[in-house]
Amino acid sequence: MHISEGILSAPVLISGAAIAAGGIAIGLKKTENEKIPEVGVLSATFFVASLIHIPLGPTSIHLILNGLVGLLLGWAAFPAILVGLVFQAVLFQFGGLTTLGVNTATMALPAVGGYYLFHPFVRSSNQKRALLAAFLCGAFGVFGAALMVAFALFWTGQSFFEAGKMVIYAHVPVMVIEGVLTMFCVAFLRKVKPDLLEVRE
Amino acid sequence: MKKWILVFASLFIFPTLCLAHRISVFAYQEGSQIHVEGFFSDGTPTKQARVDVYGEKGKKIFSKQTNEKGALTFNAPKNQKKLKIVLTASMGHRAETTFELNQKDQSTSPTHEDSESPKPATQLAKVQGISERTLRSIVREEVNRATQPIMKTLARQEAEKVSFRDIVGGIGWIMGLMGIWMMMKSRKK
Repeated sequence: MHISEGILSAPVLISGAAIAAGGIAIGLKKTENEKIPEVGVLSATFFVASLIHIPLGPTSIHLILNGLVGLLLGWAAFPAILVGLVFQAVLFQFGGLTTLGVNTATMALPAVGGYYLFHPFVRSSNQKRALLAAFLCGAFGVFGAALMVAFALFWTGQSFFEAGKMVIYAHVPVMVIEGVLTMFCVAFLRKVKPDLLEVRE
Repeated sequence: MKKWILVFASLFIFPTLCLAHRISVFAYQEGSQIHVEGFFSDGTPTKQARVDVYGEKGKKIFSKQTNEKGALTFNAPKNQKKLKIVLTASMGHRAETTFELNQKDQSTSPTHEDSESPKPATQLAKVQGISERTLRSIVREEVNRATQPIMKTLARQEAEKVSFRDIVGGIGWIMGLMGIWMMMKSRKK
């Protein structure tokens, strides 16, 4: 899901960076002190998640976990994902420094979207409904990111249909895996630390 | 912290834990042929990826696709000392490498060493009844063949850079940064 350096055109890179900067500003402002350790842990989780990957046909895909990050952090997903991406770029040469903005935007925007779409249900006192929402949130994060990548490639000149089909098909298994993973996390958190999800009584 | 231990633990349950995600490309020369190979960082070859080869002044020489094994072999272009090889795989993955052509290696081109003053090899050649040039080219070919696997491994190692130390270091960095952020925020209050 990381777009490498030298693929995208300048306007795409700049717009990506602008979106990322806006999101980070909101994220930093909205984050309370008590939430910072959580941001750190999820940033580290995101950083490690990309190292777990699955060979698939002519390409290779990895976990992203942006859905989970978004669900637990809301807007703070932006700084968390940016920090994770910086170290992935520096240490593993995933993506690249010039594409940091675009990559942050492609992964953090769906994360925040997932938060708004599914967090109200994950908080629900109805266990089944909450778990279903968690699954959808995990899957949505990956789907949204795939869509964003396809859009970035399309804007640079690739055919949207072709790029999008490829990216989304390739990530269907990841959507399922991350959906299940997010569901397990939510089930566990609801039992052990419900206030983290702001679960309603 | 207990809950996070589970989050981390669940990450490692999946059987396909491998290091890194990115593509790498490396090239090596065998006689007058250049081999290019590309792979994702877990070692999966980049099948049917586009390979663009650029010459010395950034001029594109040609563009071809890798085969099922993520490899491509082509004849070394003449009159080029350095090649830039760019590999583009699906979904926004790209890698490049520069490669210095060893003109001497190309068995078609004669070498300067041949005209140097007699060496033991010359005498040996005389005894055997074959020309020194032939002998040299035979030796060179054999050495090339013998060192090919080593060259391949070296090229591949150079392309691969992820280590466990980096992962742990990265996590440490993230924790440290969050600590600084927290410190700065608490000072304001």
